[in-house]
Amino acid sequence: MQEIIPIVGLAVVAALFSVFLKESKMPVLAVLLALVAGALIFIQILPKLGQVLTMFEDLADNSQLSTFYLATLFKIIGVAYIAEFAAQICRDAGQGALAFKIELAAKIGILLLALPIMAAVLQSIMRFLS
Amino acid sequence: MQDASIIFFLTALAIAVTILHTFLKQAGRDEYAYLTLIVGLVIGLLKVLPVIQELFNGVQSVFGLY
Repeated sequence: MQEIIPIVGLAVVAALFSVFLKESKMPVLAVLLALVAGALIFIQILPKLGQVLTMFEDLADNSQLSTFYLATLFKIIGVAYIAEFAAQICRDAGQGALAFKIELAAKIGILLLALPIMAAVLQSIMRFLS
Repeated sequence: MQDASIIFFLTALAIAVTILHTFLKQAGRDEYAYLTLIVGLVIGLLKVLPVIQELFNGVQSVFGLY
């Protein structure tokens, strides 16, 4: 994976510039810079991640597993990633309380996404008992 | 795909805003100095917005969120 070199270079340059921007008249640009650097890095690795997820989907198809559960799992990972991204930015900007609220919202959303799976598990338990 | 030039743009923006701010403050125009900060912030946000949108669209399509 030779894509690691540009990513590392981007991150180091962004970190150095961020230190410089904190000293300027606009410290808010340092937060913006961290946001952009994180977004650029993730945009670069998204296609690779898509390949990995496609491979998992193929495996599930071959093993006759219902793809509904796997799609739910991917959705949960996506929600968790987006929420974590925003929460880290908020925490960097000094708003820890806001970051916690984002995480809370993400947890509730994940719970909502996982409800059908939990219902299926409970149903199969009931079937075994009766 | 966006390239990394936006990082250099943001740094140059901060340098320009800092210089203008100091210059205007020395000249006694405090209200224009504050206006410079606001304009710099707006320009930075406008530049950052497409990158964030691209990231969210990518995550939505890869993870199947709708």
